[in-house]
Amino acid sequence: MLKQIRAEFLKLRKSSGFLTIAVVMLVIAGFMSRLYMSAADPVTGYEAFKRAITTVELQILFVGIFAAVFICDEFQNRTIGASVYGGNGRLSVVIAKLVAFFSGVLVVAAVFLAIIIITLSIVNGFGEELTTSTTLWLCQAVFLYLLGCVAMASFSAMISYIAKSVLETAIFCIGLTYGVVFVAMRGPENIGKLTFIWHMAKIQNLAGTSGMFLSVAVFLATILVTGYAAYAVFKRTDLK
Amino acid sequence: MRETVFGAYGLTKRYRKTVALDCVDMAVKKSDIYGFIGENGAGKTTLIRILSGLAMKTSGEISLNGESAEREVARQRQRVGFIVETPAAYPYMTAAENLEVQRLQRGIPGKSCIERSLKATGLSDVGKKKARDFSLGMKQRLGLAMALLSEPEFLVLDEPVNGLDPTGIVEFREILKKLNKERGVTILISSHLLSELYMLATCFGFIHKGKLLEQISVAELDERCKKHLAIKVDDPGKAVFLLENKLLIKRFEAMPNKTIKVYERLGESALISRELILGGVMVEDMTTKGDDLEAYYMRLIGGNSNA
Repeated sequence: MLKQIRAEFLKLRKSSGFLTIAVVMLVIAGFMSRLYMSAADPVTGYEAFKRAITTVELQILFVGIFAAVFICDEFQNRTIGASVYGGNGRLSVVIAKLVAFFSGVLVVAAVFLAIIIITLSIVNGFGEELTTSTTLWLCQAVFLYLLGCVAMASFSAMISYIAKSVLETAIFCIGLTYGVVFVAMRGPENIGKLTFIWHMAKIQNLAGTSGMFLSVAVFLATILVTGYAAYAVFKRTDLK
Repeated sequence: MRETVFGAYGLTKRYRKTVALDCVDMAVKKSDIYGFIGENGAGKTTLIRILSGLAMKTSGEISLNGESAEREVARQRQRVGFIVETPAAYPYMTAAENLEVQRLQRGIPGKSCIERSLKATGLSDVGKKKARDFSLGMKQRLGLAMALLSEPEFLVLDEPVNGLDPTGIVEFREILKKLNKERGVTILISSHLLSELYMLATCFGFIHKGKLLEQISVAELDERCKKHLAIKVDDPGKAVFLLENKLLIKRFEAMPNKTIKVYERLGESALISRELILGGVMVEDMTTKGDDLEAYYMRLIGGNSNA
């Protein structure tokens, strides 16, 4: 498994698709910082953080396209086969791919957040005293935000293993995730609460409360269920 | 008796209503170069894809290096080099980077294997050229470099010379012969170029419409394909006496069905026939027989399929 994970990290580092998406996300982070800076009311680093962790739609776009490029490309190039006949079980192949994919998502999401907070903190100050409780809240919010991104990535990975085509995956990932957004936000709240999107959108309210445990449970359940579904599909797939 | 490196036992693969492999029993012995022959859609690639783990079997069993449990077969694949159809490479990586990915996936220690494989396949000079800019021939070479990376004991090659120029084909053949001779590497190779296969293989498997028709060694094939006069007579004993003493023919073979195969003086069938008749032997039939691999294959499948 470890050797396969190392190979996946090499693919991630060399993937021009990943590098392009990462650069685009960083440009967007810079653009958002510029927008916050030009707002009538000065947006502090703390306020910018609260806004940035709820940019769910942007994360959906980023994760959906990244999944299509990083996972489906392997099916379209037929390079996925080499992982299988290289002596690795299909479970190892899926886990290694998910580990590298989640890592890529985490790095980009974290850097995206950091750019906005640091830029706004330099220009308008952080705007909040860093007490123990504030620091704790920040840590909890960052943890929920990153875990939410991984849950979203796992959902997109599952779609990738089902669709196997870059274009279809990008369309389905974005379409289905927006479908989940619709259910989460417009549907009955008790159903919405079971979706990772609902919890991502409510991070700033849930962090630091007992509600965050449900968020963690929903995120973890999403990762496990969709990750297993991706494996179950891949296990039965005849590869080209 | 040599050990079986790869075995298929009642191997069957169905795609909905189509039977791609129908209860195939097959054995590739250690150090053999096994030429796998069949027309398009006969089931060659399907069998190789099951062997490589790319496709799932519907029923039956396969064994690799004596292991048949699924997990063990997956582990044994580390000792096998594969080229399945057109080799797949990461288009945004160079040849060396593609090999590095393979090296990591297979857990091969040290990076010297990369340089060695590039050199062995004539790709040492490609430098920083990305795989997406490779010609088909270069991609084939890269595929072979990937397959050779782990110094495998068993090579499985599906149409490996597609896209290679004549020089490339000769070089490729020499590499395989060298690997087989010097390191005892077992090779399973499918190709449409039967003349090329004949120069390389030590045994052959013929597959047609998902069924393995026959497995024979090159010696058996030569024997069956050898040009000869097949003479059917009423009295084989008398005919043998006349062939030996009257016509001074030494190379012949008496078959159980009253047929004698004569392997010399093939251009003198009229003379042979006359001497036999004059000696009191009734000649019921006399024909010249013998095939090359292509003709033998066509005769075996009984048609004009696209081999």
